[in-house]
Amino acid sequence: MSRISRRALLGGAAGLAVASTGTLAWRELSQPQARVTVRRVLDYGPGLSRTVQEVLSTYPELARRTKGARVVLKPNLVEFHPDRPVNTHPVLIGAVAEAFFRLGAKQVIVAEGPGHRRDTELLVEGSGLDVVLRDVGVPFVDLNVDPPRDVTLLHDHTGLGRLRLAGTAVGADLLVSVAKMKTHHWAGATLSMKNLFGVVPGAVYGWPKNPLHWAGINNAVFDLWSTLKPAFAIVDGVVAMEGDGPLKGEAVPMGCLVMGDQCPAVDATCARLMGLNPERIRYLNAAMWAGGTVSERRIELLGEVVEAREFKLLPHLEYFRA
Amino acid sequence: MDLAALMQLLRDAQLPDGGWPYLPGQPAAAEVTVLAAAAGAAPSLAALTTASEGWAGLLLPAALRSHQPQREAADALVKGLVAKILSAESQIVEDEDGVLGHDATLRAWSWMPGTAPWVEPTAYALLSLAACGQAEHPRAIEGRKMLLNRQCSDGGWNYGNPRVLDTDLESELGVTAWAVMALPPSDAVSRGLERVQRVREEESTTSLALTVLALTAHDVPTGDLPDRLLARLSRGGASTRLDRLALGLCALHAAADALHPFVLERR
Repeated sequence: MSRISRRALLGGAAGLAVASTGTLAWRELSQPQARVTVRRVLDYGPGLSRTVQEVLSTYPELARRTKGARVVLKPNLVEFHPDRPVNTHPVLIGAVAEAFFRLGAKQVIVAEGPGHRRDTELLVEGSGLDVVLRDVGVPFVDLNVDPPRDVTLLHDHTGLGRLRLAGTAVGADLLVSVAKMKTHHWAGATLSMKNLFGVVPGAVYGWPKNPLHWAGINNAVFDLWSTLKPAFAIVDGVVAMEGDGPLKGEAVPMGCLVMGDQCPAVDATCARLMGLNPERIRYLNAAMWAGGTVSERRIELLGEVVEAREFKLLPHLEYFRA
Repeated sequence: MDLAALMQLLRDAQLPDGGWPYLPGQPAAAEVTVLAAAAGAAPSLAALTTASEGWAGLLLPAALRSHQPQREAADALVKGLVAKILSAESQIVEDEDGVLGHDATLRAWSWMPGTAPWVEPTAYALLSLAACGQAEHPRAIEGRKMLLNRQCSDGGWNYGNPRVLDTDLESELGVTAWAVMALPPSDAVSRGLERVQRVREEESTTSLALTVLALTAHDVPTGDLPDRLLARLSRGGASTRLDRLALGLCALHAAADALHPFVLERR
């Protein structure tokens, strides 16, 4: 029989390594310089696609790789609630698809495998994503039933060694995480790295994707990021979620998009905007030791100034505060 | 399109190996092959054997029950599956401080061997055990207890966490329908049936099909839901995903026949 407790499930603070001053300095210097762009976007109105395209164009390597590429956009679609900002907004997903087409993508696919709900027809129709995708000529692929491919985990923090991941995501020329800015009742925050849970097919692992949860959510998030390494991350903070996220929280009008070509740097920037300490989010802490950039001094912030705010947190998540 | 035309669409999509994929051009998928069998199509024994290896095998004995020729051909497979279901072990967890909000010591069935038990695979296993005369086996009794323990405060079921960190979670129609199908009549089931009847707020091929299957399992009138389902399947035609087509056909059969594809005796 296994035992479980709040401390074990929340993967508490005590689990993080205590590092000496010298180690901390080395850790910071070892993180590659990263660029993150924050744009002030107050609503999901017209012009979103141009804004995204402008930002994408400032990442020359991404623009080069996009030409002729098969781009897979991985939004965060969990379940549809008309009154709660649970999902990446469909208008943003359409705008990102258009932006990649304008940059020369040969094909753009929107792909997601929700972790709890199997009825993606309901999710896509209910959220209005079907209409948006029809307008931009982009198909939706349900990653939960996508033929899987065996993938060896690069760092294997979960100890699972290999995973069967959705072939559409694994086989993409460019995988782009188009996530939502939300608090998360286990992990602290769900952003572009946590969003990668959706490439784990339910047809193999079930709903929820329990073997990964059991191996530790933070470990699984880290393994998925370090193995898949998305080419770009876009976080929808136009209307974010605070409090009891990722499903039952409240809307926060943050009015921003956060974008960049390195997921940990984008997520660390989002965390700071949410009033969280990114180094206390365990998957981000792990990423710092594996080529990810989290330290503020190693991130060049571009774009516009958006004021950070103290997101409401469930009491047990106060540890994540900056 | 009528029921016969939709059945033909399903038959036309069968792969040379005797199974069905989720979408044309893909390899056979266990779940779709099992649902196609339940809908009355004829998978090959080889395809059924392959499909029985993962979690879809939990539902296979129930799916074959109503189709006698298939059941006889796959008799040894079904007997083996029932033995496997009865001996399957899931993870037992002692919840030290009530973090999970349910009794995690109850043995039930999981999506993958040796992991935590969840509502939907448990419902599949219970349907199969009931279909094969094992409804009163101690494991089936414990499985039903597990389902009742996981009911959400809104009367339905979600994947299996009615409450987490002192917060009630919401139910999901599809999982509620499977749980209701797997349980005998009770107040808990009545609340579950009320939950699935809110289907108009979340209408899709799958939600309509599962609602019809849940209602017909308990002899509750289905109103215009079969017509709405038929209209949806007809609109989708050959582009309907094959698991949805097969599940939809199961529901339309249940609404039209005395025979339910997953439940031995209507309650």
